[in-house]
Amino acid sequence: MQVRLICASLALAFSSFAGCAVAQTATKAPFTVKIIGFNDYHGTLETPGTFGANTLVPTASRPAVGGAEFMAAYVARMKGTNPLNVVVGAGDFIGASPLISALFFDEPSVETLNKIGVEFNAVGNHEFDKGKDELKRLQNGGCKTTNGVPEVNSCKGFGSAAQGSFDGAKFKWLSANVVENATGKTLLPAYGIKTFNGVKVAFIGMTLKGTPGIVTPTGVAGLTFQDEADTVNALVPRLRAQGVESIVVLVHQGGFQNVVTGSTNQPITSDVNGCTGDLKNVDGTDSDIRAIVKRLDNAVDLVISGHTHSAYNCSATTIDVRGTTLANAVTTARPTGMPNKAGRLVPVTSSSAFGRVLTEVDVTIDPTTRDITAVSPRNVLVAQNDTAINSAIANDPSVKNVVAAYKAAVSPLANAVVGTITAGMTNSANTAGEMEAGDLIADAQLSATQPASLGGAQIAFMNAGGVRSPGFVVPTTTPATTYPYNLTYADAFTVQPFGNSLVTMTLTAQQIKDVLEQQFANCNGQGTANRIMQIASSLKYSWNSAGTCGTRIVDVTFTPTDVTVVPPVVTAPTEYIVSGGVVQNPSKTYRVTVNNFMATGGDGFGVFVGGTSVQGGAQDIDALISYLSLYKNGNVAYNPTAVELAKPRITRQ
Amino acid sequence: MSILRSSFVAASFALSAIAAQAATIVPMTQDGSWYAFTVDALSAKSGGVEWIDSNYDLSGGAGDFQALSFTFTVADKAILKLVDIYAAGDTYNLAITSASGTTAYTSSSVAARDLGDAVLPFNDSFDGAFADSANFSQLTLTLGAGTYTVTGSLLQSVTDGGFALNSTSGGLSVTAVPEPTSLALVLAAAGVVGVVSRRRARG
Repeated sequence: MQVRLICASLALAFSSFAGCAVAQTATKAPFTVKIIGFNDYHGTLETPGTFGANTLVPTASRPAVGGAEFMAAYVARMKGTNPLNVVVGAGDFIGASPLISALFFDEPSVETLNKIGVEFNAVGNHEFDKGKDELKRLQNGGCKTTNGVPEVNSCKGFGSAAQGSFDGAKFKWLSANVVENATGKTLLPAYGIKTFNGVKVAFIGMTLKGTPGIVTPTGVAGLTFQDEADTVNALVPRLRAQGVESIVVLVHQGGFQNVVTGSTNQPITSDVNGCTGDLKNVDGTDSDIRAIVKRLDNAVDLVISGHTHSAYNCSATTIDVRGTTLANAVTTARPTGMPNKAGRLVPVTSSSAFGRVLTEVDVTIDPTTRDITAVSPRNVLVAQNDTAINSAIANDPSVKNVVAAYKAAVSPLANAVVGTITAGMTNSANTAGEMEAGDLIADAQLSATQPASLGGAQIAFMNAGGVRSPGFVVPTTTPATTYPYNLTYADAFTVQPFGNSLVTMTLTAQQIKDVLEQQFANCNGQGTANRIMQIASSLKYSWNSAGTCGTRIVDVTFTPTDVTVVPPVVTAPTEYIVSGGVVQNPSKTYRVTVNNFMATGGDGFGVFVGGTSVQGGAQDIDALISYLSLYKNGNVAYNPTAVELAKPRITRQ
Repeated sequence: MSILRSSFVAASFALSAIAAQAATIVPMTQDGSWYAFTVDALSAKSGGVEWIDSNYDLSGGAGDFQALSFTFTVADKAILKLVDIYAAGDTYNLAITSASGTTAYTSSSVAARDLGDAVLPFNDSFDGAFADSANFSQLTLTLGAGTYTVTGSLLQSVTDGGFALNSTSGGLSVTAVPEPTSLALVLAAAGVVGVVSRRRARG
């Protein structure tokens, strides 16, 4: 006999209802539940731009994706195909968010997620950006105060029950592996349960155990982050004792589709439903997520992951897409998955980031065993060029209206002056790879982490791809404006929109040489194009374009420089880290600042993963605004050609 | 089935404390439908073993791991049933509060079990578990007219490697019984909390 929930009808009668009544029916047929998942929303209420299902899609053909109202419409359409559904997340739904959410303490993120219909979400590292108490406020609702004083930008309430209020999250943040030291209990519930046709499905939510290393220490004070797999495995018998056999893990940890060194014929198109390299690292070792799944109890049926902002679908429905153009692309099914403790392949998914993609997972449940017997995931672009979706939004503009209201409210800050520049600095690289906008950002990041208490950084690297167009220039929307130009917050945010946080780590001289060598195409895990990092003024190096992997870096010099003052001050003589291609003192260590994306091996910079004494720091935009403030309100304007900025920093031979 | 009247006072204090925390009150129909409750000391807001609401549902369920209680109003007479499900070996405290006060009960004694036992009786059907009274702890009460609130907690837990798991589920049902008017009046006049039906003894 099957147990059937009759929640819905009762819910109509009782506003506060929880213990669902169950009735008995005679059917025992397997049924399908639709799980809709996504990760790393980061408060991206508005489109983050265009996105293609794979790299073969020409740039001009990639649709605009994302935006809260589009996510809501896509979720609604998916839910419409199966009344047995649940919407879940794998963390970083808040934090590192655009101004439209960040200014309002991420209340817009929560309100739009409520409207999208999220039910359970794992905490991610960015959920801790503002500390656990603020996270609990976002969960429970209520207005933000600072020292007892209400924040004027809190409780706008455009997406809450009433203006002047903030509902809090209608979804449940889950933190199975985050324990409050004071109580010994998890900060937030370890799991959530939703029942379908009488069968309970548990969702265990976790963040990466390495969270303390990538967030500001004050955000995680008093908390312990426990091992992900151990946490799940300890919960399994508890859940089984409650009759739960269907178990989904929502974990804010992930991997990348990598071309593994030494293997052949791997697809390089990064299709959103691909699983190139089976989430192994370039050197063939297990990625973080693969290592976690390898130790998971066999009871876990599906892992919805995140953190890396990568899209992948490692499951029975994985496809390999090979080709050089869309026209000649060949798509091949290749069932995959990550082996668990028992060796069984477990499906693992991730949906890129910023609302670009949704993962639609149809799971088959056998009501006799109460277990998931089949899992069929599919990553779907949240494309804005879908006619039916646009019609749905036109018919119900409620989410769109919330976004518009916050857009209007954010305008005053967006227009605030943050610094004055004497000339434009684009994100165009010279032949050596140096960008004027990149120099400024790297200096700002070094400045923000240079004090001993904030990291004690001596050197800063910034990935070129994170220096967004158009750089620090007069916007094209104000053509009559000339230099010197008063940069606005919106201008700065346009260049630094990702909300990455700074990470300061210790690297050896050898590792500095190695990571510089890792910049070049096809070298030590780098992709097929050069990725020349931007550097702060304390470092200079030259590279030989005729060299081969591991032999291109010629000279690297380090000049200790205090960049927290204007103008920057050299504080000690220049030393050679590398001279004539030879590392001078390979084991000597330096404190190096990068962003959290690079620190985790992003953009092919795997060397940074080996950094030690890792300390989290400020958000990149905050570092930039703070640095630019040295150049505003009557201070001397920032002159990108000033001698003390020590340009050029990168030389190509 | 046993009724531990000797522990009535102490149990009343304990259970009224639970009731004070109750965040979710579920109204029950009296058609015999089973209503599930959960115990999980790890997740319970209180850290205790009281029945909690773990079933989150946007259409109404809180799933907030706060204490869970049930309420219903009996017109004449109704049968209340409690049963443990899934892994056998759990037993429960039960407290029934009406206008005339709170009465404590315990569900039937069953053998203690460990998850590592070679044989661990398991049943995922409320009716099926109720039929297997030798293995699944249960309780049956006959209640007279009145409005009742039921709370509960775990008394004996299944163990995992010898340690109490304190994580389980059970169910509660109420079935209205058509009653001769005369008897209903007698019960109502007496302000009866419950007439406890005797059940056969078990090992």
